[in-house]
Amino acid sequence: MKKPVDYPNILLDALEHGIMIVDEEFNVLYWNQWLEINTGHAYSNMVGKSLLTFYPEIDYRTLQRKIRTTLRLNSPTFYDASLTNRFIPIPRNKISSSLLYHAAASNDFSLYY
Amino acid sequence: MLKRVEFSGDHLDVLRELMNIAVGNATASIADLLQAFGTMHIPKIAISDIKGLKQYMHETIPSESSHYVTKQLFGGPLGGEFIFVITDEVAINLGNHLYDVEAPNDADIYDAVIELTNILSATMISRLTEELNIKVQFFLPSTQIIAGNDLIYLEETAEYSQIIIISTQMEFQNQNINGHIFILTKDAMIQSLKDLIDQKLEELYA
Repeated sequence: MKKPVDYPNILLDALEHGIMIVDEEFNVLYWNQWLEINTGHAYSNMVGKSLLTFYPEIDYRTLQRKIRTTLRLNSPTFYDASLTNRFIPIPRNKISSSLLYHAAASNDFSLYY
Repeated sequence: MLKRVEFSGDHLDVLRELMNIAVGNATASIADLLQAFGTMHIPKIAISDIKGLKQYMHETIPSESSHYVTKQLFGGPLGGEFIFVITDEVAINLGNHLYDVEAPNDADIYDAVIELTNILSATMISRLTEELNIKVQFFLPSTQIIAGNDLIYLEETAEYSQIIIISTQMEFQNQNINGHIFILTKDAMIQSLKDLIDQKLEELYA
């Protein structure tokens, strides 16, 4: 497993997006504050562990293909942003507002949400 | 009224050659990443206006089918729009191939279409821009299902006066996957493309 990204990371935690960094075996290297707040999983609980432990429902075959594409082409890859295709569930007590979800893999295999 | 940028025969030859390289690159990447082996046609290049673009799309895309139309913007020293068009039937075949299920659901199909568009745009545009010694940024793609072949809406084209159309077709017979690709760039970016090709010509003949 690669070395985790130091916590707290001012830049990653200041963003209004969920950001995770995973290695090719889906080990979590960073879990930003937005994800901590919105998933209920703390950085200390996630980092160094496999995403599979917490989110077994993710299609890891597809994720692996997307990561491979990103690394091979040195270009971001994207998931469909429709509400029916969430990468991981984010609990919401929705009454009238909506939340846009999307996930993308970029060159350092970070995923943002 | 913006001044029209004139491309010489040399400019078009260089662009055609660069796109041939880009298309070869895309075919190899799809074989490697998606295990689909096929061919891509030699790209056609045309300089047109909006009316000509609409006519070109009507002639290229069948009117009787519904299509998944994925559009992805790219920006930087060279900017434009990458459009990938496949019929709904082909989109199901693609979802079937990538997700290995008999009947892929809507989310699988959308995701598969976006994934293939990603690979096509990244390989083709990146190869082109690499040859031109520049870097571009890709934006989030979006997919729409459109009945017929009116793929460009009037409001999307209001500010365009001159457009370069680069189009090609991909065919992966074993997976029954084929589609049309359009790369569009306009106005100031056409001048930018011409300048970059001039630099490339200087490199080639230095």
